[in-house]
Amino acid sequence: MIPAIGLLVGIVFGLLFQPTVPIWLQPYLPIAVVAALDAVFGAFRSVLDGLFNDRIFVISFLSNVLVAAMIVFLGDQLGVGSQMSTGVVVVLTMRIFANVAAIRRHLLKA
Amino acid sequence: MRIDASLDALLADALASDYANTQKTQFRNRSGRDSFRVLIVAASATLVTLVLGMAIAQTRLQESENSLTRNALVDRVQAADRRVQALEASVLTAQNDLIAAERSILAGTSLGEQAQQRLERLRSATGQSEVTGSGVTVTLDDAPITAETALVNEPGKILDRDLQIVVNGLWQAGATDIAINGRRLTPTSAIRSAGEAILVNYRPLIPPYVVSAIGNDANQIIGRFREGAAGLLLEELEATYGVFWELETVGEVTLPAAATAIREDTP
Repeated sequence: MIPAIGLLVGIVFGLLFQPTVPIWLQPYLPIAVVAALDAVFGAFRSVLDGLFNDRIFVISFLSNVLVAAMIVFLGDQLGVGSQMSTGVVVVLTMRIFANVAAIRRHLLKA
Repeated sequence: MRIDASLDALLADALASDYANTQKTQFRNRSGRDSFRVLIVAASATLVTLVLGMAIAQTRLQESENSLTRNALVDRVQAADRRVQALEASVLTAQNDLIAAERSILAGTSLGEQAQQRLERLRSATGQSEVTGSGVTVTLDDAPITAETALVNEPGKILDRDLQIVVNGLWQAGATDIAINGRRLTPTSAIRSAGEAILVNYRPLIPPYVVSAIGNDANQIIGRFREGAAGLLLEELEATYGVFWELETVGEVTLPAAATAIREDTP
């Protein structure tokens, strides 16, 4: 329950107070968001599966964001940043889809 | 088959759940540090959506800034355009004042009359004075965009070259004065394109393009124009690209004086 409230509080704060994002961080922000969303959906699915583990959640969240940002950063250094971003987004989107499908099967039995 | 299998393996790895190796019961098993753990999870969840909200807000801010910049640019272009129009109008009135002043000074003496006639001949030849007479108009427009032509990259667009050929065709057919969309052509006029637009005297034209020409014999101009290179080109453009064009005589048409002064080139 409390984590769900946290989700709501976070988006409200982010939208209302519009904290300024440092310029150097801006390219990685969308990727980091997608990576973090993947972790959130994975966690939600595991809660329904009865497999949730807070340690795994926090670690997967942090490592997803870091690895995604690092891949894009490396891509930027090599001049293929946009291609790398595409790759990261494709993989993470597929994961999100798979997780949402599992959640759907749990909740709607369909 | 092998490719399918390796693709499946690739997907299976990428899509494997982070929680594949955990046992059930762990989450239900409440321990002493439970509230702390819930707090950590809640903080992470908050962080996720906080970053999401920041990213959304950032993107919106960027978009509004972009449209602000674009609107400011559009405003500046339009203001500059209005200024050019006002300046052109003042050039025209100044030219008229000049002509009137010349007339009043040169009138009376025979030498003055001669000079006046010579001046008027030169003015009309260089497009510096308004002319009225009978002539022809050639109306050109881009091909209408239909479901078929919409697929083509540039369906039947009138180019600066087409206008150049039409104008040259009119000169050849015997026209003495020509204006395009009310912009008088002088010996130094250029018809060229910049980006999407066709420029005449460095000012953009908006389609349709109406080329008005004055000449001594309108019917002769029409006949010669149709048979010349320009007429043939227009027929081919119509047949191939569906470009619209129309040629007609007009009883009385007035062409304005050119708003651009003739530049003097020193050798």
